[in-house]
Amino acid sequence: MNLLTALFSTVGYCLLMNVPRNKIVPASINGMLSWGLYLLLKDHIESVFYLLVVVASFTAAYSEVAAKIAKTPATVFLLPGLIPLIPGGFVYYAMLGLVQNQFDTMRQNALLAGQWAVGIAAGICVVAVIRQIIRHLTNR
Amino acid sequence: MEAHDQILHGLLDMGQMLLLCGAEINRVEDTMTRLGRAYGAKKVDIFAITSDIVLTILFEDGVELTQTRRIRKSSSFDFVKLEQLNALSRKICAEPVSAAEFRAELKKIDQEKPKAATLYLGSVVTALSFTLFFGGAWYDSLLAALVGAMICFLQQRVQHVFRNAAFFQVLVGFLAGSVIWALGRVAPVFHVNEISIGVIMLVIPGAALTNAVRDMLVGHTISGLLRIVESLLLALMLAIGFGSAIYLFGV
Repeated sequence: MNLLTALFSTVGYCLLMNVPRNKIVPASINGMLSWGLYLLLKDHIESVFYLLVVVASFTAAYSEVAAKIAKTPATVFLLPGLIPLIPGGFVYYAMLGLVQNQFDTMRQNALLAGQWAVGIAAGICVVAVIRQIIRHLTNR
Repeated sequence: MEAHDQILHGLLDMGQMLLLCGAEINRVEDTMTRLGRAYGAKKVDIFAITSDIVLTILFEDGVELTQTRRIRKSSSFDFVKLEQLNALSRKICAEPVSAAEFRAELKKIDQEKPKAATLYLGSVVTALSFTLFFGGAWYDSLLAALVGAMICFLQQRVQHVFRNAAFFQVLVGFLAGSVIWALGRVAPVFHVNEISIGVIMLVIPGAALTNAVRDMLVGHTISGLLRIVESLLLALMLAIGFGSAIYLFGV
């Protein structure tokens, strides 16, 4: 059920970003897989940060491969794929804590949101570096 | 001489359109460089940030020209356009057409706008599924879908009134928050938190933030910082609007 809602959330975002029709399905599957991988690994990787690094690098790798096949910029697959990972819930509860004077709630949620964001960024970075290395090797 | 002028102009048009449909800075600079080479440039120097592009080309006949382009619109995502621009750039790099023809093609791509129906559907589906995703009940998701449609209406019809995206974001946050929390007060069956998150996912600049981080990671530190600050500012404005609504209607 959770996977299905993740899938449809990504479909919705694909429409918002005007992803070309024939790429909505692969892009949405990317979103579903990223969330599925998160759920799968959640109990096995203790550090949320490294968990997100793994998940985001998988998503970025999927995007690069899909982009190579479809001859289109990787962004088209990457941004929708990461949508289910965006820590909107933490951001919201941080704001709620701010409005309701509950600073512990605010601090904790804001830090969690930051942790997720940095983890995702690091995951993307891993793939970006690998891609640069591959490009360097194949250009010779 | 005039042809040189036209080429720079065309490249800047291309760069601007790429930026505005959600390309990373890296892609903007890379595409413009390739196109410049295709049009016989010996050296292409580009400095692009989210609000400005500076382009200098040294042509093979020794002529060196510089043009700048100020970009005032803030970027949104339109991947159909991004793909068309990408395809056009590949085509021209393979065999260059005249500068006038190139600019005509760009204009044609620029005139296509995403359909309003697509955007409405996207807003409704996103808000609906995210509310379920974050644990809302089915009736919560229906309310979220309604608010999603309202936000899309605001973006379509009201946004152009505001020259500053930040103020618009306050308005969106406040109206969305008011509807959800006022209704939640009248009818306590609604799970206001879950609905709010579902709706916020729709307007939170998460994708822009991702792009910004990618920019920074590949060495475009200034552009990345600009976009990060811009995204955080928008998120803050959203929080101010939404938070005020909660303060007003909250229990």
